[in-house]
Amino acid sequence: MKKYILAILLVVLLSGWSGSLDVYAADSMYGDDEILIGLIPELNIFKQMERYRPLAEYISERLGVKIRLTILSKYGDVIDRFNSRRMDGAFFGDLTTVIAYEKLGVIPVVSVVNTDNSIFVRGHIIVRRDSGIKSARDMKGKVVAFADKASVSGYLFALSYLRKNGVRDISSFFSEIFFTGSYDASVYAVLDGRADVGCVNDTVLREMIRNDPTIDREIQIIATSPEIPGITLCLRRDIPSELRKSMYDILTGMPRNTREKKILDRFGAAGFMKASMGHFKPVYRMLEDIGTGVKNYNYRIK
Amino acid sequence: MVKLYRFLLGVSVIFLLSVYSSASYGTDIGVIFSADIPQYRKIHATVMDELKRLGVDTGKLHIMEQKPYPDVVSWGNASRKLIAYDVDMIIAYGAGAAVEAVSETSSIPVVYASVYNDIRRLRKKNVAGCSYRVSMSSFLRYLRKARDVHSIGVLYSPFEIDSRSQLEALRVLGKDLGMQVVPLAARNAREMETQLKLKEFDALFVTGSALANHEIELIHRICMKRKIPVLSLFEGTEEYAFLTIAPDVEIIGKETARIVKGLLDEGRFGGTRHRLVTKTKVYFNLRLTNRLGLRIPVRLVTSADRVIR
Repeated sequence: MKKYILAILLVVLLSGWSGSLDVYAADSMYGDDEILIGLIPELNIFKQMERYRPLAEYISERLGVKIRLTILSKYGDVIDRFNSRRMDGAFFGDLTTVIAYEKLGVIPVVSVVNTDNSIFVRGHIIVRRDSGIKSARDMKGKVVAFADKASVSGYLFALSYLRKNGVRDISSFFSEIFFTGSYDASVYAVLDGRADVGCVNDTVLREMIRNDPTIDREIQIIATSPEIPGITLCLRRDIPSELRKSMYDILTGMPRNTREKKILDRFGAAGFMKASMGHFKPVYRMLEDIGTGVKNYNYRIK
Repeated sequence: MVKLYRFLLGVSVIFLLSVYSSASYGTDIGVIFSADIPQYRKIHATVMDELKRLGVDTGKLHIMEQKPYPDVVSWGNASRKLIAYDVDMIIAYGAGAAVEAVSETSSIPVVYASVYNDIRRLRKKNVAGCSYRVSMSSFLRYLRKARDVHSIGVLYSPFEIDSRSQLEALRVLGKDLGMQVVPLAARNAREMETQLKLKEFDALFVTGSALANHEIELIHRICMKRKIPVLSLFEGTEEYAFLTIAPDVEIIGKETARIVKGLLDEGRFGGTRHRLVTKTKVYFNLRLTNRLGLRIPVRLVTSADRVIR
């Protein structure tokens, strides 16, 4: 908990309380002139800001409505604080899209198309190559670093994989369990030796390897999840439909020119496409695997 | 005069009898620290605590500690002393002492602890123990986030196998990352001082050498003067290094204790004889980072096991 607070304080201090992106902007819920969009901490919050800032500025310009971003410190916060922070929408993750759809009644608008031209990501369970871990059985008594409970790639997939391999109680199976808060931090925990097992999605891992090829030689993938949409922008049901349509048109039309191409490059995507809840069927199946439904799923980290 | 002789003879007999009785009713354990440094002291303390927890009457253990100066001759002498005493087992902390003890005896069981990864020279019939592994690449990864680095000095001891293998691992990684690795071989403190003052490098990696870690204050002093950040992998050096990624000494201590307990119970090694600990602790020294004017790797602030302010 202290680490989350520290990280948020750092962002606040480094951003100098200025700029158009507020870490804690609580005064929206679509009024006349701005839209507040929530972000999950898929990467560390500095990288998330760098990634989303140009896109938010561009949409603001095209839409004529200011887009403000708010980064949540945990994946599940985007659900818990959606109403209290008066968010108008959010870029939800693989599992939070499903939870938000079921619990908050949001409308999925677009899914992010990755640089491989697919909206889908896959979760990986990873270990160090020299760890000697080859299967679920070898993980007994080891230390695991999950990313976040409110994430398929960062938790749910691993839980479902372990359940299928006969592990019913992970707290007695592993010697230590901790949550890193983001995918890249889970990978670093494994690389550093703070954890034996980690969880990440393929796009984040690919990007990390692109920046540092030594990671590829050190990390071994033990299991891979079915494909699920990675990031999906959902908006409140009460957002005017014409505004929703305008956002949809702007985003799905990208990239039309070199400026848009550059924005997408910085965002790390090829574009956006229409979101569909049908793409999330594997998530519902994984929830069944672990014997729970969406509404009863506990995504909160103590 | 005769009375004095009789008196001395009597005292000697009583002394010998007491030594004999303690030896026959307990177990004589020789302990060699490759150097008197916190990493080995902490592991040893954990070993003793864990033995007690496992039900061993540690009061009956006759522990003979040797903390020689970290060099080959001293480690050899310490081993021979314990062998001459005919101890029931030797526990050696660090590769230097372990290799020497193993080369001196093939009959007395030797338990090693805190030896880095490569244990080929310790795979013998009378040897068991617990080694560790730390990701060398993580050091370079974090270092590059803190400073633009073209060369890294690696302080190692040619006498310590694990110190040498860390140098080799860094050489390979350095090649991959386009970072020049500058080897600083030191057989004693004076050589170390000379190398540190004369050679050019942007950052210094202190290997798991007993000698280097014994002289960590000297290293710190010289590097601070030269504004060079230090990276280390031993517990207890975190005050002197901007980044320390150390093996979890508590786990090493517990695993070692289990091996010792097995030996006490069975009189021979059973189960997994060579255990490897990969769990690490990350310590980030924010105070030194600021003093050296380095960039602050955010991940270290948020995920280190301890941040020194």
